[in-house]
Amino acid sequence: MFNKHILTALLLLLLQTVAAPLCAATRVFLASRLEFTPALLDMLRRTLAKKIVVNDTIILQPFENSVAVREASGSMILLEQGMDNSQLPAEHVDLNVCVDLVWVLAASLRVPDLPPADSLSGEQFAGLLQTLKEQSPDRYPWFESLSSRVTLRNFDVVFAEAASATGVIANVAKLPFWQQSDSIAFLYRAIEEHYLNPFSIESDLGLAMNVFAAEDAMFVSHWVPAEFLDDERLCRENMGKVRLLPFPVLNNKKFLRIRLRLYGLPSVSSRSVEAVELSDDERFIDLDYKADSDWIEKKSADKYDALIVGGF
Amino acid sequence: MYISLRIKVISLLFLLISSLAFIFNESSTSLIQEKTREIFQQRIELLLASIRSYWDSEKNMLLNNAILYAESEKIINYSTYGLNNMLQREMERLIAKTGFYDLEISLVNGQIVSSNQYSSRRGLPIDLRDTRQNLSWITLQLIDGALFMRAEVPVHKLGEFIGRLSLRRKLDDTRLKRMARNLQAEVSLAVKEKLIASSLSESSRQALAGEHFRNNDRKEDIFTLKIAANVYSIGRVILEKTVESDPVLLYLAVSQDKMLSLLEEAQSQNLSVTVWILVATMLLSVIFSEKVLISRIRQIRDGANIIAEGDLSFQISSVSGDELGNLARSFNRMASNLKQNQDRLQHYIDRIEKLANYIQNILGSLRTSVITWNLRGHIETANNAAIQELGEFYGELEGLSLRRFVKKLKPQSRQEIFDSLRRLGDTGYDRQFDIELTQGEHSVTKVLQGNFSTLLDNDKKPYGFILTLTNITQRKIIEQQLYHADKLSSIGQLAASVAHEIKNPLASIKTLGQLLQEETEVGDSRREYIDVIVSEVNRLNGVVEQLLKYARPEGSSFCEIAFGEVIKPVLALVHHESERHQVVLVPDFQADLKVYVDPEKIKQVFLNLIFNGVQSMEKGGKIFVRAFKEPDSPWNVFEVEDTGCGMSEETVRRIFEPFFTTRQRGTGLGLAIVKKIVDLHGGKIEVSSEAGRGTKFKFYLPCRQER
Repeated sequence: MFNKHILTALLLLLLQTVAAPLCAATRVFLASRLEFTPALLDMLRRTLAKKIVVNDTIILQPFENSVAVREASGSMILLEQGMDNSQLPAEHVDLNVCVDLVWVLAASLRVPDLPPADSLSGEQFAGLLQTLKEQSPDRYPWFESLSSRVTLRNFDVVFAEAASATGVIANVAKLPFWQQSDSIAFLYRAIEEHYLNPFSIESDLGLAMNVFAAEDAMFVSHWVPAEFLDDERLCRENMGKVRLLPFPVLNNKKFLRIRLRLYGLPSVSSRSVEAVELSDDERFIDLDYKADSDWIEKKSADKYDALIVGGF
Repeated sequence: MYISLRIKVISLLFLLISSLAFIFNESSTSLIQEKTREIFQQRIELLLASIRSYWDSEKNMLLNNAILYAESEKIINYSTYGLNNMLQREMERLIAKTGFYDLEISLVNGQIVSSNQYSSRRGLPIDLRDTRQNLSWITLQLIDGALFMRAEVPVHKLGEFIGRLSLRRKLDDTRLKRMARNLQAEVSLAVKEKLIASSLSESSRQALAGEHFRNNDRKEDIFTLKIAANVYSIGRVILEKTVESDPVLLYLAVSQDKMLSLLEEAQSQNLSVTVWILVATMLLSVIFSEKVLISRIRQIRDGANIIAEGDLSFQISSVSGDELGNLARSFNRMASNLKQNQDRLQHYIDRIEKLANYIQNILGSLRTSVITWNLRGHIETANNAAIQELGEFYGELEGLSLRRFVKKLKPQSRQEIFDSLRRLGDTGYDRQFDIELTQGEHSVTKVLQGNFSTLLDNDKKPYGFILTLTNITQRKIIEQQLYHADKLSSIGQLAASVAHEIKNPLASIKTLGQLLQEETEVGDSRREYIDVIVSEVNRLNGVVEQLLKYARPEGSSFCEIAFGEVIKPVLALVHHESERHQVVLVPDFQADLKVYVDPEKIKQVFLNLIFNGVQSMEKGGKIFVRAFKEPDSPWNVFEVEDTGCGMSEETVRRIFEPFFTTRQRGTGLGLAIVKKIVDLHGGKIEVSSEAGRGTKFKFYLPCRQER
């Protein structure tokens, strides 16, 4: 009799565990310029979970191309603002939910004398690199994902903004890297001066983040949700002991930002999505998807070659 | 050859085979033991000879893995670009995947990164002028009592030397057990006085360690070592030296006990084989005896049973030349003789049966009943005629006693039977007699004529008697009818002649009487006498007329007529008479019944019969008049039945005789005329009567088509 009860209980438990996963996941497709690393996906997932009301686990699935967007009928889609939304399934509507991603320089808190400011100047950044290099001459304190065209474009935009803000337009070969006004020259000289790891040229964002996580570099740039900037706890939980800074180019104090908009079926909209209004912020430089795409298509290859060949 | 001798020889042969198998088992076991020892010795020698190549393959495998890791893109990049933590993680991943003990890279700048994170350290920068840095090698290292095999290879980035990678494997018990599985021998390693690692069990390892410690010269050797209950053949070889130049000794041990146990197992298997041979021998003996003896004996036994069951044609098929063969031949001869005798006997039986059937057929075909009695007075046989004749009286005849037989006979007949039997017993001669059988009170009596004769056996001694009976009932009836017809005919003719003679005088008397009536006055006393004379003369004339009607042949006028037209005038005619006698007439006939008769004569018949009935019922009663067509019969049946006083048997018997009457003023001619008319129609008339209950006349007249 006792065994019979146990067997019945086990059977019910088994049925429950078998049945549960069938309704325990909400799939959200992602379409953006970005290369989504596992760490970035996890951060994005946590952010999105706070914005939409679903009881299930959110599964983010990046698209390889726009053709697949049409195949995502029935699921929600996070589409980068500026991308062609005519490719979306006909029944999908804008759910009025946005997730902003910002491009930051992550600085390890193990960096000695790291100032507690919200931003660094190029000079401060160079000084910190200099200190680190002196401590470990065989190691490189800074790592980037320079094989990524998006990263190159980010540097290009941030340099363009900084240069226009400060009026610096000179490109002097003899100047230290941090005084360069051209992004490629900046990077090239940083490698040349052994601050930026040369392996960055072959690295994508995933490797760059791994190197940073393994503490083989003290600085790395990558994308994080904008909420991380103002939520230290959230940042620590996801990235460890780091400080997120605008990339220290000249006197730049702005973050590059892209916006992802959530699309889905109208029924989802009324049921499970809380509309969140995002206001513009002076801290951000909003990237233009079309312009960036054009740049990537037309100029990124030359810029990358220049980064390898040098000659500045 | 006699069977017993054959069995003995075969048994001896089987015994010899079994003994040979046993001896062969023993000798082969010894031989196997000796050969096994030799093979064992050779095996150790072969193992020792091959251990170096095996050892080299182990080293090469380690070296190849080290080269593989040194060429890993990640290893090279991480090493080149100072990503030490990434490098360490990658090395840990590789070690975890492959099971090697340690992976370490020494970079040119003196940085040493090891898969063991606590071993990462900074050493001296590599002297790039030392050309040995580009070489690969394998060394044995004794570190903290553990022996390591270490492969060291250079690492290059685009042809530029960037460091050296070393891959270490610990030669511990686990590794040696794996080697032992491959070599199929126990493997142990010793450096200096200490046994470093072994695949042996703990007790065996200690024993070997003791032996190693005691043996000072430590040269290569093959020896035997008894450890506890096990005996090991051990080969020892110096593999190479450690980096400290200490020789590394390898012990190869093979347990002889395992081999001996294998031998014992083989011996026991041989023993079991011997046992199986003996069992097989027994089985073969059983099969042989079954095949050669039992089956043949069984064949003879079965043959005897078959013959006992009556099949004398059976012959034993396979007949050999031995005793059983002789027995089988005798058996076949006996069966043949029995068969011949049986055929002859069957021939006689057939003839007897044929004769018996012939006699039976004769008796069965006879119309005379033939019954045989035994001396105890019981019927033994009766032919078909007897069964048909007497069956209705006695039922089953066979076994019927004489006493019961005569019980059915009339007293006169019984007397006849007993007289005849007495005469047969007294004189030996038979006597013909008639017997009458009666079934029921009113049934027709059956008259049989019979005689007894004595039944004699072959010695002429009586053992019974035969009764033959012939049915003469019909003959008797015809005789009776002839007699009666003659009698009636004579009476009729006599009466007719008398009537003819008295008719004229009566006419004269009547004429004279009428003259006297005319001459005599009414009221004259003589007138009354004269009236009586005339009246009586008239009555006499009526009698004479009837007599003449009876005797005179008359023409007939037959026609088909509805019976109703015949009977209705008759019923009307007798209506007053019947009422006067308080007699009710009950007609019962089919409305559509047609009869082919002389209507006037048949009316006469019914008139006579109904008047007879009315006059027999002084106190009233009923007269039933019936007419119907008898189904499936050529006859129309007519009945006149009264409920009067009935008649005695004697009266019935004489009822149709002319002038026979029971009434004082009857002429006795009415029913005689009735019978004559029925005879005239080709019919027949019956009368049945029971005193006090009434009389029934039943007459049959043929239908027209039958006439």
